[in-house]
Amino acid sequence: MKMRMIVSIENEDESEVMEPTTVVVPIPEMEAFTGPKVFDEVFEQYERKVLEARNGVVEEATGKYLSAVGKKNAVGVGCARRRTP
Amino acid sequence: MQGGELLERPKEYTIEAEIGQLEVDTFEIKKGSKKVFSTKRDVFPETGPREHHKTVCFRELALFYPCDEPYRKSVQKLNRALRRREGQEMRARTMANLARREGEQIQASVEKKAERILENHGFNTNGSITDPKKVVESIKEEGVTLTQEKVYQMIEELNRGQEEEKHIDMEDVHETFEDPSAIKANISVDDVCCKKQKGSGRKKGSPPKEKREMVYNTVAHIQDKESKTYTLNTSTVSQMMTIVLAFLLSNGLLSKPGSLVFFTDGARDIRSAIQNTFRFIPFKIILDWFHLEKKCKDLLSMAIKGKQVKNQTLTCVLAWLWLGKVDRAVKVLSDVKEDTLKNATERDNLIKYLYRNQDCIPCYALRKKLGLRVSSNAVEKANDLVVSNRQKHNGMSWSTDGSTCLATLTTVQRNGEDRNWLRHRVISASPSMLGPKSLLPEPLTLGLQFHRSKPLRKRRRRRVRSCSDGRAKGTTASKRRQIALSNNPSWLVAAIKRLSPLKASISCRSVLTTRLSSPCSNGLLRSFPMASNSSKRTIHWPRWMKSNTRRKFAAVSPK
Repeated sequence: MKMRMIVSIENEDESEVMEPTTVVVPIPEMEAFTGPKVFDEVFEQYERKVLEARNGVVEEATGKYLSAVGKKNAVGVGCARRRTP
Repeated sequence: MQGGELLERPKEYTIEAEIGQLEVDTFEIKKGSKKVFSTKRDVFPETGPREHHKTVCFRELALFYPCDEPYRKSVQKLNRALRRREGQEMRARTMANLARREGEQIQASVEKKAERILENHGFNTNGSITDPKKVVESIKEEGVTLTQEKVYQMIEELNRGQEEEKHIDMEDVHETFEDPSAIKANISVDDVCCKKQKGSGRKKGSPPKEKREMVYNTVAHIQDKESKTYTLNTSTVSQMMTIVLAFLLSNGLLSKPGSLVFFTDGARDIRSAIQNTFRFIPFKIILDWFHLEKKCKDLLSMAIKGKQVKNQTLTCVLAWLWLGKVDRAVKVLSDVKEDTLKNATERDNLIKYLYRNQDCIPCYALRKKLGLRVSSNAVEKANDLVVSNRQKHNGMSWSTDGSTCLATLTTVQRNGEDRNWLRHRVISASPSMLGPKSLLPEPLTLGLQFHRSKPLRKRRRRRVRSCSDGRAKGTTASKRRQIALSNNPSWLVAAIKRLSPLKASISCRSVLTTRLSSPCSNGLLRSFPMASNSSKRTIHWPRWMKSNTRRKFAAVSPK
């Protein structure tokens, strides 16, 4: 079984700002939860993998977002250089 | 549903996870009034009526954060780290209860394991022998001692240049000297106490109790011949001894040839507990030198009038005790003139103390020369790490269970068994869990005597104020450090950094000030200023610095 996490950043009009970031993480099968004794062990595997993947995907998406911020503001700075009387 | 009724209970089961607080739907299948299946019982671990189940990742944070910090701070940190929303935040009381319950479970697990091991090796749960055959199989009484030649050689070296009466005679030395490379184990045991919580339901105006009640924890530090260590803690000494016995048996330490050596502070209860539990095997108890010295100091200051006489007597007594000659030390005490005595009872108490512990007072000088331990410092450090650092602060008071459970959690973490416990609910209790000497403080490279750095602060302030150029007045510490680094020869800076790997700060232009700090004492320690001359590469040593320390320092400088 696997979990796919897709992070996309959109404008207010729902148009995409950049490509969505995707990560696929394998998670334990539902049948693995055979009883209360193994619940903690199986859920720990799930939790660790999901947390790592979540952090990874958000990190990547945030990197892209900040790069876009830099790019956009560089254009803005160019305009701001014009001296006002 | 065939043969039953399916009931859905929305958001009935709550799981506290690192991901967040998860509210889960549960299902039940009922046949008539009988519950055939319930996810709360058959899939998820069972919880109390309003209890939330905590996952392994969550427990890892919630249990081991409070080992270093108070519950309130830990819970703030946890809620911040997990970004808990209002209403979902964990409370300090919940964290304390969780720690207490987990600590109790660990203790119960260790006790159960110890009982099983003892039964398998022919002991009952109190450590008494039930099956002598099995006991004989699991222990080896063969002791490995150092060779006579080596001991003679060391005695000769010690006697060289000493007065005749202070010579050590091989005939007088009745003890054996264990071979440090072939020991069963070195075990240091000590008690540590912290303030007990006042009981609830006190009456207004009731007279205060004479003595503050304390909560006691017993800590044992076990070191095998490979210097691998393991720490144990319990609430009583007798309980500790049975667990130590089980630990030694399960790790096969008693079946190895060599000596079993205990290091204690001379407490009677610890000594009698050791003697009761380990009477089936030869062992040695050694009284810690620091505690012996302290006892002599304390009792003599109460017994003798006048500082000079007291110090003379103390020096003399300690000199004999260092050689292990208790009779001579007692003679010195008995010869103290009656007119110099302030309290003869205290003198007699000291004599009784020395006679009582005579068996545990070895020839410390010879042991030290042979490279053998004379101190229980390992367990003193363990006490600090396990109990004192967390539980002995202003305004803190503890319930008996609360203190022991928190100490147990800290011990588990220190032994590196936290993950093993959280995942599998098992304590392996094997010294192989740790690397060598992990609980011992880092050795200091320089043999300096440390004290607080108050004089340094005064000196520094004065120096900055008296600077003639206005710039120096306003310079920050980091700026001064930069100036010092640029003005002083690089070899000297490197030498200081090498000598004090833990913390070295250099300041104040041509005067070098090194601060050494180590985890074994409180914060900032001794500082020593040295005027340096970069062109001639000569160091003007401060007057107080001993010549051997100067030599050590000079040895690391380039020729």
